[in-house]
Amino acid sequence: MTNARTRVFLLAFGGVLVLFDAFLWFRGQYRLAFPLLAFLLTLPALIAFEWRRSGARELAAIAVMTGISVIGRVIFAPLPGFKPVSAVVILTGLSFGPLAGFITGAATALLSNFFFGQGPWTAFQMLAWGTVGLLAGLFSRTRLRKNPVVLGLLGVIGGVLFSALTDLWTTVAATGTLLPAAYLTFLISGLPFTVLYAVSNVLFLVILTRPILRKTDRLKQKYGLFT
Amino acid sequence: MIYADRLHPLTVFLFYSSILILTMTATHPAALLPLFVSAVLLRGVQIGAKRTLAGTLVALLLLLTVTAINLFLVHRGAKILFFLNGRPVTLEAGLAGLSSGVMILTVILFCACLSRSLPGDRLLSLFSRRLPRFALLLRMAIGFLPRFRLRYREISEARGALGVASEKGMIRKIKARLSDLSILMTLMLEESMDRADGMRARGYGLPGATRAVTEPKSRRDAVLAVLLILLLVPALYPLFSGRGDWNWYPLDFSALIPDLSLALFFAAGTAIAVLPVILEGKETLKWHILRSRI
Repeated sequence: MTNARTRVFLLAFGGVLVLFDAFLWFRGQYRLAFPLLAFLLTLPALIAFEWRRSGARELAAIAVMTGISVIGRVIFAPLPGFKPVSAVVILTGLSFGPLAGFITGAATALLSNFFFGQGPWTAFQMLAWGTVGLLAGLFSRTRLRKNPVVLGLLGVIGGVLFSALTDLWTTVAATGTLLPAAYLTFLISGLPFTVLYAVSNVLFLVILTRPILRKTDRLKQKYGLFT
Repeated sequence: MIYADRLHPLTVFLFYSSILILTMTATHPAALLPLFVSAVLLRGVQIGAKRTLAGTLVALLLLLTVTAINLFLVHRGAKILFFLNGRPVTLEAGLAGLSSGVMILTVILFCACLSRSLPGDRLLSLFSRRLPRFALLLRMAIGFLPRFRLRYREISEARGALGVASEKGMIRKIKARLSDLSILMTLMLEESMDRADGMRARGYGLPGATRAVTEPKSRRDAVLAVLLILLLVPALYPLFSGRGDWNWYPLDFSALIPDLSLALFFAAGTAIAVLPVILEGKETLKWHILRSRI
């Protein structure tokens, strides 16, 4: 779907950023190196999404799922830590596949931060939610996709991953280095939130899995999406 | 009025990303403080002094937290203030924390300025050439947000007319709301398929079609871009050469004032951050003066 010039541009852009990030690591400039690394880890998925040949219908379906999770984050904004985003992203991954899951997670973080404020943390949130969607997508073609144990595990992993990555940013931003002791302290002091993330993910999955998967499966069958 | 509206989004984006790179790599207080001041000034010019100062309390809280984190987690340094649980709490760690706090605050301020200078739609138009599918996805998702509300109202009104909403009992009411949401999702998914077919009918995905959003480029952009590059070379020199590195451990106040050449390099970085303040400030002032006072 993309022309040669765009490919060359994207590869060159990614390459320059990788070199710059390596240089920053080498110089100990972790405050910029970490967010840049998080962005660089989301970049391959974004590029894969561009290069994948898929139609307008798939794009529209992913856009609806993104819209749902953005609205979920905005509606539940007054309750800190209690958000349906991971659950919706996981369900998107389970029904539409790993790439769609990643893109939904990353797009949700980017879009919803237009309401909550953009910053270096956006890169970490994109990576965290994207990875959760990707992991869920790995089960999309297996019999395990409706397995309650797998769903529960995905919810817990989602909560832990989100905590771990956002705390990584907090540690690096606050201390300028990655002191294991400081990171550990942040992880421990953020434990209530991690538990809250995980519990709310599982809770939302319990409520949403059956209705959402029924709708997305029907859509896939009716329109022949993501085959 | 916003001056950045008259520029190509890429120019604005390059300016802000340069400023953010300089801020996030600034370890020397003499480099960081001018950037912090220009961030406050830029925010003040953009949203007014009163609203900028309204954030002072939150800012102080952030500074205090980050300083405290460093004081109690980092035990390096020679100037020991007191001992806590047998571990030294040092002056160096406190100062390093304070400067970290100022850095984070500056980044937050500049990011807030960026989202005002370059609202979401213009920012998205930037990726639309190189990441067209992702940019389109984001635009479609934004476009769905008001539709969700509209359709939700239609659904609940229609079902209210059928008598569903007037059910008695809390549980039943919640169930009715949830099934409204369920209908909403089915409806939106179906509607998105129609929209996708509409896109196809209008030529989406045909070879040779571009999905890039075109924004006008003017001479102003060229001048500013050249100026940015000219300033960026000396401004990045301290980062690449390592001369701008600052170490809080051990504390050396005599190095706080940079020598002349280093000060000039820092001045180039400050100039990049001050330029938007001047341009936006001029615009705000003009807007103020020219406004009719009838």
